[in-house]
Amino acid sequence: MNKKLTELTDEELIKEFQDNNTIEAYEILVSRFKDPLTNYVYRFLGDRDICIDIVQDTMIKFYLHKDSYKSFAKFSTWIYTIAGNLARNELKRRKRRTIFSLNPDDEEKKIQIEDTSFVSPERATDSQMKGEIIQKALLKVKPVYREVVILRDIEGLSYEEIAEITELSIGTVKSRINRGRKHLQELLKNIYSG
Amino acid sequence: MKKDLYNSTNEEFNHVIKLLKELPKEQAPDNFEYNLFTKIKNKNFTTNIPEKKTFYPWKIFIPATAGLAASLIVLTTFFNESDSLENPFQIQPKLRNEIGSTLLSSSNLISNLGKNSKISENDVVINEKLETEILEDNLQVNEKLVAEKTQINAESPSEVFTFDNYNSTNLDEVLGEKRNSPNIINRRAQLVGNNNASSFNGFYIREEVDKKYVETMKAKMDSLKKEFKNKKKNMKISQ
Repeated sequence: MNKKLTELTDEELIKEFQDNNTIEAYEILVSRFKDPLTNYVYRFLGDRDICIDIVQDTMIKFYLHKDSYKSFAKFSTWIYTIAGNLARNELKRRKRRTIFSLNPDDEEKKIQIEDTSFVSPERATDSQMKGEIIQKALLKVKPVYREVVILRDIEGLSYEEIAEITELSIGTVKSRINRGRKHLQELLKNIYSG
Repeated sequence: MKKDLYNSTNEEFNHVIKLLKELPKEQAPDNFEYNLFTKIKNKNFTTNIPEKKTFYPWKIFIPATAGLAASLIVLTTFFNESDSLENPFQIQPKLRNEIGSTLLSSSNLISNLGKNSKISENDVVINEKLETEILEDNLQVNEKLVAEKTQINAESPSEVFTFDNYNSTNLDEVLGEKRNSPNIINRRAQLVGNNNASSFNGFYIREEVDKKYVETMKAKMDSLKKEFKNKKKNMKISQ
């Protein structure tokens, strides 16, 4: 039975979970999407602890509102939409906190402060260091551009899927991706010029 | 020239795309599923995202400012009395006759009130008779005054006004033919500012008698007369 379930597509699994409340189907879907969603949310927010919480919430929402999924849509776009919405809400909440908070020890401020100490190309040889630099650069890109760039260039989704997740037209998605990439190119010129 | 970002190819950003694709994939922790299923099992569906308590000092002013704004709106919309106030410059002045008649009637009423303090049937009848007589007298006086005024206005308008003849100028005279009259020469001296000239009171304009107004006043008086006559008749019948 389990072997059969693992062979099923995402859409077949969600249908199984919807119709028969098969918890195994749900477990398989969680195992399939936990890593891509964690990667997506982490790249978008830049905070690992909160990213794990958001992915957990995404999975709980999926469990509670399984019937709101309609079979004509791809399961991946549906679950990415939930995670994206939660991540965007978290980002908004942080922004509000950084604007209104009077607490000088507020951790969130660290993210908002612009990092001017960009590492020189010589030091950026290490892949881990490179990854950190790219992540910092990504966080400097506007959230509307960042989101689509992550979905396209890191998660490898198609334009159509991104348009469905973000509820934008394909044209807008393409233009936002290019704008995001352009901004990133400017921020990362130190890395690939050396 | 602006770059067409919509149609630009991926080649331009090949390096950025490559860098992004090379990024290490972030993975969920090993206990991710365990934590998730324990939450589901325990029906603990509250979010784990920390909600930090923040202090907004201006938060307390929000209801106060909203209340103030609302009260201001209410006051300006519902209690705006600026329209109801009459502009004193737009109020038509009362005629001398009207003022006289109102004063007379009010004085009569006051005197009658004093008399009526000891109420008896005879007193009431006497008072009513007195009232009618006084009012009739007043009406006659008013009629005479109106007639006099209309006559005066028609004959010599300058006599009606109480301006000092030496310290004022009749515009009709000035604008008319009597330009070289000695009075006007004296006025000119006043206007120019001779040392001997006394203070200048100003110009005055002849007031045209409004015939329609006089007619309406007459009609009013007639109706009042009729009413008093009717009252008299009724009184006699009742006696």
